[in-house]
Amino acid sequence: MTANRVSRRDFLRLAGISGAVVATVGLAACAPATVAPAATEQEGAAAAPAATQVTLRKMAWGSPLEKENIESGLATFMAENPDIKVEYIHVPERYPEKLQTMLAAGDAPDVYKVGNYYPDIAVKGALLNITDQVTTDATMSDPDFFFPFEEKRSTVDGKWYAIGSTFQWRMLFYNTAALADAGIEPPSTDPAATWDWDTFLTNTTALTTDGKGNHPGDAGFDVQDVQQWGYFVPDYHYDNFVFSNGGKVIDETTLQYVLDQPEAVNAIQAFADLRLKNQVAAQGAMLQDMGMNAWQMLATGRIAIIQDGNWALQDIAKMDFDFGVGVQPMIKDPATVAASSWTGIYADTQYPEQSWRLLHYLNMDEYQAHLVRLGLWGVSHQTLLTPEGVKKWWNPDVHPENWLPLEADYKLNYGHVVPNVVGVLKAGEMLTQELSQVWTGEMTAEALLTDLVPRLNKTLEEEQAKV
Amino acid sequence: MSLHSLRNRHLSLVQREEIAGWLFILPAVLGIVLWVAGPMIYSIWLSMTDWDLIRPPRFVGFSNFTHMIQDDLFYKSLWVTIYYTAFHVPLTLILAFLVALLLNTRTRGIALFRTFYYLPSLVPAVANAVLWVWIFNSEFGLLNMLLRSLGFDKVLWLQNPNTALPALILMSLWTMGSVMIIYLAGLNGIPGQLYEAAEIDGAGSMRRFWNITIPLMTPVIFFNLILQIIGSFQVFTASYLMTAGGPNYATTFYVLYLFNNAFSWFNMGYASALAWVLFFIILALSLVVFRSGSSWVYYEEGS
Repeated sequence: MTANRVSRRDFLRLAGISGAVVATVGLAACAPATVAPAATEQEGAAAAPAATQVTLRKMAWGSPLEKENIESGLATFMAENPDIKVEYIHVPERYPEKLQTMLAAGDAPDVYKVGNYYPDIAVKGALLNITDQVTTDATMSDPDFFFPFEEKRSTVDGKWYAIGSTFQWRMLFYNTAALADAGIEPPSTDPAATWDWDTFLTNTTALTTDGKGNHPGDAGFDVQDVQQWGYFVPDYHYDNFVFSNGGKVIDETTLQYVLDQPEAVNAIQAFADLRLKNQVAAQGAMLQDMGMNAWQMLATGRIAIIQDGNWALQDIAKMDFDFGVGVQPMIKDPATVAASSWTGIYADTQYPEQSWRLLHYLNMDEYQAHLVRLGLWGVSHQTLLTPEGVKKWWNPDVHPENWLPLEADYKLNYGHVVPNVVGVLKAGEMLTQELSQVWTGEMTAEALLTDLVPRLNKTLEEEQAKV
Repeated sequence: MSLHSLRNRHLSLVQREEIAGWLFILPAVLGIVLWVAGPMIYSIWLSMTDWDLIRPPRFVGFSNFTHMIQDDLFYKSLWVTIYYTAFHVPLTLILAFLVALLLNTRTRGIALFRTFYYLPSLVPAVANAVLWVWIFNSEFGLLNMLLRSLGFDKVLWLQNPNTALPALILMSLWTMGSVMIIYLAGLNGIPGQLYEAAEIDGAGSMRRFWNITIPLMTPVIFFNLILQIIGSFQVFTASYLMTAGGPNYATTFYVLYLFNNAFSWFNMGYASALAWVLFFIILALSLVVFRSGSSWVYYEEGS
């Protein structure tokens, strides 16, 4: 091996580097998917595919089932893309802390999942701006692919830094026997048949019984001795009722909190009154982070109806009792909140082109349909709602017969997305903390929100000033 | 380098022992220098920066400290921590002492009792939290069921700002086993002849308790007091897992607030400043307790 001859190894290394460089340039030129493979063809014709292979790291959190699914999905991806090897880092606990320390060390994974801190880290430069890739991609730019509000939930200041992994929403699960015993007609999955507020209160009152068989409002009703609660809803679902009453959490144009508007105030008070005044909803906070939820109570008939995320289906379907599903009650209009986590690309990745191919794969029908089949995810592609699309995920062992309208009508047409605003992490913490005074009845919604909302907006301003 | 080669260099015994000594403590010293002292020194620098963990730190002088003066949540979290300490420390010290006294008697199956009382300290913090979340559950929890059977109303233990912190204090007593076991070791170390001599002199059991047990136990009590104060100012896990600092900041402990600043709100600089303020608070308190120690802690060889 003489000095002026390029060894095979050096050649391969050069080819690899130039490939990466071309890919980076390609990104800047908005045509990533076409440039890089061409480069490999030209220079690496003699090279074995394994030699030009790059290794990407992907990081996410999730249940053991999700981990399994991600791994099998990645195996398929690697088989289809022999030039990319993906190492999967599964972080079931303390994900944000892990991610932040990796970001601080300048060593974040190439492709990673992000939670509610997405807007904050996006504007601070932790995620690659993929606006060009998304808007020029043949599949993704098709208006019939994503749900219409995908852009709203995945963009920050009008730019894409990540793509939503799934579209989750909130709905009802009920204990069939409990409703039959009380002679209540179960809620429907058709938004047109949503329970209005009076029907909802009448039904949940009938479903709430104390030890002597009395219901809320009866003379001898003992709220201390409730044997079956009509309803259970987690505290953080209050926004659902705000949307249903024609209110908003954050205004789309001003990007400020508007929870002090009458529609929101009244909805939040009505929500609190379900426990305080109407006495039809259980107070017990269920800490879902700790594996604690109302599902067991639903199964044993201690609670007749729970409001929960669609993902609960995965576990509830495995439990041994008859359950049904439906849309949530409305104050004025049917409404649900649609949201989920995102997946994006590390801004400083060495392999932006390959990372984009991986992210692209993770957002195609086949990958998503896998997790929808399990009852864990909701679809975020309209292509999965066509008759052929539905076949890819419909799972009779999990999905109740009347499930489809929840995906195709309820979520699609009545789903609300809260816009991404920098600073909602800190402001959101204030909101959660201080709203607890309304839930316990120490303060009225009006008194609290009149005082709180200006402070929330001030916090947003302060946090945005740091960017 | 073996001891043999050391010997060959004609080092004196003292020198050789010194080198061997350093070698033995090297892992611990390295650990402290690399993983404790290093980060601590770095955090002094960080406390004077604005750092979001993504972009490079930006020097801001003392503005993190001046910001603290106007930060309501700084005071709130400090107050919550002091309140917790004020109840947790004395309650734990007294309860653990009483249990240790009981477990120091020679009865049948005492080993079993000792195990039972120590066991909760071995339960991992997360499992402990899950257990207590169920106990405190207002609708289906054990505690409210008990209250109910006694004719009391339900208490919204973890949802009501007035009861959440007392609930966590109550829960903290569950793991007093580690304090108890130190007491137990101390009690075992009191020479039996002192009691015998006192008994012969006609001292009753109360007299023996106050004049022998308590004085001889003061070094152990002192040790536990210091450890408990330091530990309770650093309390974090229970509220992180069970209440997320709520409701309405009722359980936002100082360290939780610090953690939120660092990892939830991207203010690593401010979090470092908070850490240093906590360091000085704990240092000052420890000094006060150490000072007071000379007036009530009894060391046998010292007198």
